[in-house]
Amino acid sequence: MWYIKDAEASRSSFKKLNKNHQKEYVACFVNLDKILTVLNSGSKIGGFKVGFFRSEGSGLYRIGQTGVKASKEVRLYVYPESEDEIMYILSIGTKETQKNDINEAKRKIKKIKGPKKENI
Amino acid sequence: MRKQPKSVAETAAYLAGNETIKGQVEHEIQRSRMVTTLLQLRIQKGKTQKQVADYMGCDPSKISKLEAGNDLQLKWMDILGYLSALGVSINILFEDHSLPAAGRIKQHVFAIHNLLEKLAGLAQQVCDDTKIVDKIHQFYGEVLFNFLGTFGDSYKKLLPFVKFDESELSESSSLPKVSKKQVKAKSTSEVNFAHRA
Repeated sequence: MWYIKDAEASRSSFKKLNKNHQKEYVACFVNLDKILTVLNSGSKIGGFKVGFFRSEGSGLYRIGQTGVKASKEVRLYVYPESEDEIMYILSIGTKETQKNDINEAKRKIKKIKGPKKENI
Repeated sequence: MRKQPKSVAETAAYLAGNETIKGQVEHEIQRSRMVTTLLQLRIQKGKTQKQVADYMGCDPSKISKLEAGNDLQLKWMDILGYLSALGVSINILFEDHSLPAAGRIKQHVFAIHNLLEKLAGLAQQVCDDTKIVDKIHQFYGEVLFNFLGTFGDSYKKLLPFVKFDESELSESSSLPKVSKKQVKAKSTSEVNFAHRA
C-alpha cells in the first residue's frame, strides 16, 4: 500500500501556487490520487504510461494539471520510491519555473536516497 | 511532529495551508471515480493510450485528455469505445432513491440475483475444469450463508422504518404488490421475495 510523505516539500511554494492557481493545484492532486490508485492495484512505476505522469529522470516524476480548461500549466513533482512504496511530494511550480523546480526536486531526491545508502 | 498524511486531499490542504482545499480535492476525486477506473483497467490490461486510440479511431491525445479529466467531461460513446478497446463490458445499476427502503432492498436483491445468474453462466462455460467448478460451488455456499446473515441484519435495521411508513407503502404506486400483511410479515422472505413470484 503506497503512502505519502510531504516532509521534503516547501510549503511556501505550495501556498503561493494554491493562492494563484487553485483549480490547477487541486487538479494536480486529483491526478496524483489516480496514480496512487493505479500503483495500489499492483502496477509498477515505469510499467505504464499516462499523459499527465511523466519521468524527468533520476527517479523524478511530474504530474500535470491537464484536464482543467483554460488553465496555467502547473506541475507537481514527486518521487515514487517503489521499494518502500512511498510517494514523496517534492515541489510544485509552473512551466516558467520548471527548470529550477526540477533541479530542486532532484536535490531532494539525492537527500532522500543519501541516508538510506549509509544505513546499508 | 506532524502525523503521516492519510490521504492526498489531506496533504494538499496541509501544503496549501488551507483546510478548504481538502474538501475540494475530495470532491474532485469523487467526480473522477469513473475516469480512475478506466485508467486502472487500461493499465491492468497492459494497453497503451495509442492502442486504445487506434481501436476508437481517434488521436491518442484524446485518450490522454480523457484520463486527465473528470467524470463530468466523459461522453457515453467514449466510455463504451474505451471499454470495448479493453474487451470489457459495462454493467449499470440504476438505483431509485425515491423508493421506500423495502423497494430499494428489492432492487438490490434482484441485482444480486442477476449477478449470481451470470456466475452460473460462467460456471457452465468452465464446467470441464473441476477445480474452478468446485470453487464456484464453495462460493455459492458462502454467498448464501453470508447473504442470509446480512439480510437478517439489514431487515432488523429496516423494521422500524417499514412500520413507520406502513400506510405510505401500501398506497404507493411504486410498490403496488406490497400489501400491509407483507410489510408486517416477520419473515424476511415474506417481505422481499413476495415480489418475485
